[in-house]
Amino acid sequence: MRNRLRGLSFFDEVKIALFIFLNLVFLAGLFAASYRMLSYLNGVQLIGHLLVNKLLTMVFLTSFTMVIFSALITSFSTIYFSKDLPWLLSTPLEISKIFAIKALDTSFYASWMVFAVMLPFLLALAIVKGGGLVFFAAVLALLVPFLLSASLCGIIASILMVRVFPARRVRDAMLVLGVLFLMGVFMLFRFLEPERLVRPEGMDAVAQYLSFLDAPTAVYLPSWWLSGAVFSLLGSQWKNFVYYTSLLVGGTASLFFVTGLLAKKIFLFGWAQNQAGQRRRVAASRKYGYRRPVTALIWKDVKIFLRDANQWSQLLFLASLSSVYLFSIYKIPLDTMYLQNLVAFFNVGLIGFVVSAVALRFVFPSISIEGDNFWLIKAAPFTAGQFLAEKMIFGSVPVMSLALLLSAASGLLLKTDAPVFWASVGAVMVMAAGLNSMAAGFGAMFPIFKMTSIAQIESSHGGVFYILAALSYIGINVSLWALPLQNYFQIKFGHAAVPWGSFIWVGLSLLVLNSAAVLVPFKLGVMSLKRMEI
Amino acid sequence: MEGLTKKFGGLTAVDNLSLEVARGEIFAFLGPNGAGKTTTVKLMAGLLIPSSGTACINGYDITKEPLKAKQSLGYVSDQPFVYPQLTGFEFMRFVGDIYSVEPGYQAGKIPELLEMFELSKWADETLETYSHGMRQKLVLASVLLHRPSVLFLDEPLVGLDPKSARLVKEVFAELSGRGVAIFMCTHVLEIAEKLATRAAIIHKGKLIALENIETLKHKIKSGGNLEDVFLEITGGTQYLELLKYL
Repeated sequence: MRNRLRGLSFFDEVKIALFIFLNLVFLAGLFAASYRMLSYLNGVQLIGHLLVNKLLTMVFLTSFTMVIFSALITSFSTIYFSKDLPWLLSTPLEISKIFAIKALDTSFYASWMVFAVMLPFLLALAIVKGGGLVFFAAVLALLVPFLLSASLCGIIASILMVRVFPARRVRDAMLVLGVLFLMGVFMLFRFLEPERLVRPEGMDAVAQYLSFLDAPTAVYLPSWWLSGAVFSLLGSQWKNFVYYTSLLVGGTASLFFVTGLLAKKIFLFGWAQNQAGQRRRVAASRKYGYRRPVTALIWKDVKIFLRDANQWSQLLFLASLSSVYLFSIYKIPLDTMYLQNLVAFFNVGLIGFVVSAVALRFVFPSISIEGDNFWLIKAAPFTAGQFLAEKMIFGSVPVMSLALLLSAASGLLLKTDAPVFWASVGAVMVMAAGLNSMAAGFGAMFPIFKMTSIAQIESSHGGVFYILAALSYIGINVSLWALPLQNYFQIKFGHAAVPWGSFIWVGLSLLVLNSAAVLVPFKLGVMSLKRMEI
Repeated sequence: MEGLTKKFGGLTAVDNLSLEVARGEIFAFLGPNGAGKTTTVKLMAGLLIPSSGTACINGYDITKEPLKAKQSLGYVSDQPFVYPQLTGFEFMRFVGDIYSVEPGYQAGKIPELLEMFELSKWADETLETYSHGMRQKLVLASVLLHRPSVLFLDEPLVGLDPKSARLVKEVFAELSGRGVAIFMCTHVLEIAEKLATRAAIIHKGKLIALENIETLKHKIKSGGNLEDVFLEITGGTQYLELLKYL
């Protein structure tokens, strides 16, 4: 550990500091939001405690389901495709012991994020309910068997599925299901308009509402046992607390026993079955049309994209992101035309932010995901410029399509004036081109060929630098657009003549800024690729 | 190559190497682990940038005219990394296209090469299911597609079964007969002895021997084989003493 800390470069230190800072800000924000919501719910007369209890039950149930999915997907990399397992199995260690270590490993990776997100929520609960630090510590202790039980359910599911189906297929299917699940939760949450749920008058019958609040949720699941233990702790009902805690701990122990049993009986068979490699036949056409090297690179990237569930499943995220974004725009109450156009203007910045995040996911990693195969690119007779241009062309499809969809659709939903509409669509499209080039250029300047996941590439220091540069670029762009918009309204309401000087100045500034955003990162990326050694 | 040098920080991995390989020659580049063989081959193939010195392929300087040099050479790495989501056939097509091989020639040559390396049966299967040896054969097949004048091969026979290894040796002999220069790094001294016409031994980045194979063998007093020559020159015989303690 000490050696690793000593070996950190300046970039690594900045990245770690920024990472810690951003996470602390996120957790503080989560605490503030949780505290506000719980205080509000708890303060509702007569049914306040029921509302809090219901929310708690729902949070535990959702977390339980998420950890199951997460453990199921994680178990493929930590167990079935782990590189040290063949060696471990060749040692005279018992399979159940090896599996127990791997299961704990999987549980940690599958649940640490849920645990981290729950911390501020539970702290807010402890404060709102006056439980104090002892209550908070006790709930944290109860989270351990709870999260472990969810992970073990996921691991048991993976053992059973791999026994019947090939591991690679199950992993791909689960990846897609996981994305669909998250997408569903995300969209459902937004489309339900949660702001309405805290208003009891919204329900048809008060009695029905009360019985809904008071009804237990999934009583046979550890999420309910945890809820029961927490409620008992808050109400000082010690008998109930012991009962629910025993169920939680006993249930987790039983799941551990079942996992061990399955590990002994069927895990090895499923694992061995998958070592031969799953045959995947692709009926390829035998046409020999002419393709330039750049076209061949695009063709290769399209094939790989469509065959890699890790990559194409991200498109589902794009779809849900777009629909939630547009739904939120649709729901903004806008009474005046001025307000509509003003929102349309800020919308340019927000879309820029969304597009920069999409470019971070699709374009920035495109050089790094060449991975060990980069030798083939480096040894081939085409230029670094051609290679980077191909990555930009390929990445521009999702980036530019999303930019066009969001800018045009939100402009229509906001019913903005035609000049504002066309100006915002144009601004977003130009900005998207700049962001696309920046993502490709930064990706070429800071590649990680020995990556294990796209998330790892995104969170590298190159990814952080790209996002910082992208945000600055969006900020300058939006502030430059403010002046012509203001002038437009002044002209429209007859308060001013056309300020040609101002238009020319802003136009030239935008031209210089956006040309630089497209050309400079591309040039730097090409130089970096030329210097790159493998 | 002339005065070719590569430094990684304070370490000189390749130190002032100068040698020439003629058309049709099979040249064995030998040396213990970490001697600088792979670095030399990577410098010649344009994967690394020399700290000083020059490397010319078919008359083209790899740093000044990289595209022309790369069009003339074929490189096979010691690790056959390939795109796991592509099929064998698609990989061949991709390599053919990035080397601008005419589609008509690809149509005739790809099935022929796949057949020759016994990969036809697997041509439509994704490469994630290929074994190490199959991937190695596929990379060897793909490198022949654009008719290179010079081949740089880093341990080309590792992972191949005896039948495939024999095939590859015959392919090398055939290519050599057609005037292709083959620069081969290998640990398998028997192959170097049987196939190569000349050999060089590199140790700690420096060239310590550059001779005709027969001349090399005559250099040691006992008149042994290439393995004896190699061990004597690189100091490997001292380990024979250590073996007694095992």
